[in-house]
Amino acid sequence: MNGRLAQKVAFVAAAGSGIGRATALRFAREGASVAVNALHDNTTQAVVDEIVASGGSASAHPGDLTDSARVDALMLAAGEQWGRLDVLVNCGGARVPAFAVETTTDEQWHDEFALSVDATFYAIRAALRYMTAQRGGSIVNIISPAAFGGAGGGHAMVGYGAAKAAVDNLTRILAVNYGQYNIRVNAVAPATVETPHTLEFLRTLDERGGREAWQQQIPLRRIGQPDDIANAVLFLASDEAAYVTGATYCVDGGVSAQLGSPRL
Amino acid sequence: MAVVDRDADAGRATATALAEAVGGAQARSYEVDVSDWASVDAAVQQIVADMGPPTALVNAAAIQRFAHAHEIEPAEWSRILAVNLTGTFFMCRAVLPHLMAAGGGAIVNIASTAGLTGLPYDAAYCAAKGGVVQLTKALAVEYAPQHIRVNAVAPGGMQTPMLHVPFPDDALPEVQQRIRRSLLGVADPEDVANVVCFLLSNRASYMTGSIVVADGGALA
Repeated sequence: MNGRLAQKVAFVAAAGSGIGRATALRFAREGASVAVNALHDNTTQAVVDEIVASGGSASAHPGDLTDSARVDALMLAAGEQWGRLDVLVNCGGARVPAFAVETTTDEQWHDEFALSVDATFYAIRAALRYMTAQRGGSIVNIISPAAFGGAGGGHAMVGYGAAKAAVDNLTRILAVNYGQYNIRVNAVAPATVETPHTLEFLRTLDERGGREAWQQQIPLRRIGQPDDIANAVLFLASDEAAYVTGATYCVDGGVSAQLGSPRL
Repeated sequence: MAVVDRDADAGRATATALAEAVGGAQARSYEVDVSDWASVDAAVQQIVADMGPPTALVNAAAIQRFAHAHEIEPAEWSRILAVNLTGTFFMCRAVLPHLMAAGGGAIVNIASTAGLTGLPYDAAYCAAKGGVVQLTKALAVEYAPQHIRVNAVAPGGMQTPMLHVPFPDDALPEVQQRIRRSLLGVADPEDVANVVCFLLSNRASYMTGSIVVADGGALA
């Protein structure tokens, strides 16, 4: 199959919906064999079926990425299935619990880090075993403009922002450490994207008649779509970005270039 | 494609190579000094008359000279700022009305990792490229409602004539090495061109005001 990812094998973590799903579908259209991961069997299989039905190649690797033994087993299975691993995309970590710091429990705080930081680290560690042996690979981590600052405030962003900042930093450290193996590590930072995770927030906006006002605070005047993000992930995963590593691509309609984030 | 360069022969050669490499491609060259508003304004008007209004603009004009900051001649400081920063602004200023009239477009400015970090012996260039970074963000925010996207690429050391600009005689060797070193070696201009093409394309339709490094991990 031709395309920007022809002959490549890509593991997409948290691909059951939203950005991960759009990325998995886009990768398959560009010729990649896609190892699809989502938490549950049925959501994982649904994405695999969608890819196969449109003529692509995919395999199902459902499981919880906050369990490191499980992650090792999933990556091993994906590697055995396709014989190699060229691309890893980490899309997880979007629970965004809105707790005031004073009432946040240890468990809530650790949950946030488990989803964003632990899951990303475990997947990268398992994937690097293949990529270092192959002497090449591309890793793309989905972070958030919340990693760079106050992100419009709000309790929701306390743990989330800190966790995404950790992944942002991990991205650059790994880029430096693994450049010698020709393994590239980059991040994409989307702002609000229309996905099942943001559905509730967007519904609240609509109920208050606030979607238009929200969009007016985004320089490009619209809320992001999963395909907007998938396009940037695809570029960074492909050989077109052969010299790009340690970079963070803001795909946010201009939000992080302006003064202040959209507010309700 | 309108190829704009101060060096008329080099611009012509690029336009010719382009027309040969891409069948049916229309390419013309224009002799322009980007630091001279009259030259930029006249050239863009001529381009519009010859080829129609532009929908995309790439600003790659740059000059660099390594020197101790306390020894830079005022005229040299002004020249480096004029070409790297003011030249980028002049081109944007001349082209933006056409992008607005067309209902949108995309601009990519070539900044530099020198615009994001401090480099010794390079004060004027760092200041100018830092200016390009901020110009990019300001234009992105101002013109996004007109559907004009403005992004910047920040390369590190590249295999271009600029790589051979000499350091001051007493420059520290380890500093010289650090300035020109990248994790993945020195970039081929093609590596950076790939990033520019991505940013200009509809694949980047939700990206604006983004400063993307393409430096083989040097800045990381």
